Amino acid sequence: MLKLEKVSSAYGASQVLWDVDLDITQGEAVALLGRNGVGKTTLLKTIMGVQSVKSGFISYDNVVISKHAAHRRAQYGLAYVPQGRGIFPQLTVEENLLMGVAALNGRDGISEKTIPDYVFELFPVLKEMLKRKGGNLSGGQQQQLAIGRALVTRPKILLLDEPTEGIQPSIVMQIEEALKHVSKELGVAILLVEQYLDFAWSFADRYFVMQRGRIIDHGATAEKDKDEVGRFLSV
Amino acid sequence: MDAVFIINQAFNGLSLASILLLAALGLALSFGLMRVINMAHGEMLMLGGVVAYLVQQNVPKSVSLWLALPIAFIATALLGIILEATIIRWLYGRPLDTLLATWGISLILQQAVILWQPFGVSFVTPGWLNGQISIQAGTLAGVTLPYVRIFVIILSVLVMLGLAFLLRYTRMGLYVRAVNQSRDMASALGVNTRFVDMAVFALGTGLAGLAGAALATISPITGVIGSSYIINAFLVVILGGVGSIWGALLAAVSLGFFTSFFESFYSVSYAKVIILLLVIALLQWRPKGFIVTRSRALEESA
Repeated sequence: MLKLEKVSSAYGASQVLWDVDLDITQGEAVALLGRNGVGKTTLLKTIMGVQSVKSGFISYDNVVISKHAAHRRAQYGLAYVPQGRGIFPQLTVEENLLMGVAALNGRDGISEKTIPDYVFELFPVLKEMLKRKGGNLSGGQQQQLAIGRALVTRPKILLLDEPTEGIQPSIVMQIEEALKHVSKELGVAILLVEQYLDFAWSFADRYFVMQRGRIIDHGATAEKDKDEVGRFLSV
Repeated sequence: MDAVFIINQAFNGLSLASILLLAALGLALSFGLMRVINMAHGEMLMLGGVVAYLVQQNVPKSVSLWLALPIAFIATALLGIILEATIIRWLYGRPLDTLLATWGISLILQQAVILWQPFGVSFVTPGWLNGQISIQAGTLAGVTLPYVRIFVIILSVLVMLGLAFLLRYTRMGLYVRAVNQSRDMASALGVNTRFVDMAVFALGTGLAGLAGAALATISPITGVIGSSYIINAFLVVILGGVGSIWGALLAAVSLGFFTSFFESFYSVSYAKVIILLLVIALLQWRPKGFIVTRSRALEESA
């Protein structure tokens, strides 16, 4: 479904990604692991299109999309929950959610351009806060809003950058449950950057490990001992 | 200083403020959204006045004003699209380069109009706008409120409300606000930010053109009239707080009042000096202008 072949990316003169190969099939949950600063966030940005590809190819359903602007990729069905959540602070919760509707332009088979009810079922707190400014929500609420907003785009692949980072444990549980639901029940493919290995392992079908901008290991989570991968991550 | 004097000057200030506001709204939009310093914005105002004149030369007098305003808006908006597509778009992220490039455009447009009409052009105000409300007796005897200035004030209030409505309640307005707050995130959600940029830039130049057409009803339009408005329009943007249209309103009204009163006490030059000193002092006190957008998320990321 999504395939990266020898993708490299750079910020000016400093190259961050080197020949990354990665693939995600339909409905699959994939964990992307690695220490801080190895290029995980850059990889997600490059897939979404907010960071440009220097060389290599990204293809989606066998169409090369490496040169396509981010808004077109969103319309194909890629959705992005960035590190720091990317909430529009001056927009209300409702307006933040409505922004996801922009991705439905030019999409086949979607007539109603509204916020689907399951977003509120997954994150009831959003319904109570519809008129509040996004910037006034707590960190956990913002994270739920960011995921809910990504779901409004009716994604086929969800790119999540450390969704549980810096969030109180009770909400982490909620978010994990919601992601499991999105993956298993809604059949959305998920590429998850996660520091918390236990969750990554219980959630993902496959894993990729990055080091210094390269993929150094990958495989099925069921066939690999979690602690063996953990060694790549320990400081 | 009596009541009549105060009312007359306040009214002049308000009419100056309304032109300034029309000119500054477009600037506030394009600077706030794209960080483009458009020095040619004043020339969009001037060309709006020129278009109004050209319209008047070619249509019956009775309808000329009603045609001149929308045509001036559309013509300068189209010019904005051309400017954006051919020059500005290549300079995003480089504010100083946009300043130089648009300054060049500004000089070219000024000189072109001066070559064509060295003494400027005049829009003949329709008869029904030529009168004034004038109080002859009582304590307020001597108050005069010309119709054309009332017309310009009403026009700019309507434009202001229309713009506020557009930004607040339409889908396009939502996209504009979102791009303003986080360009990458808006595009990751499916917003064509290139299109939003172009639309906003065109709206901004169109509003400047409308301001020019309105100005043409009050004063002659010369090739250099843009440069006398661009500085004040930038002052309005900076004083108001970048990207805030309500801040722009407050700043335009204050600037209009102060200019009008100082000019009646001292000479025009002294008034300018005093105003600039006041602006400098004010920016020491509120470096980000009257209305500062602030939120938890912004402060965390700052």
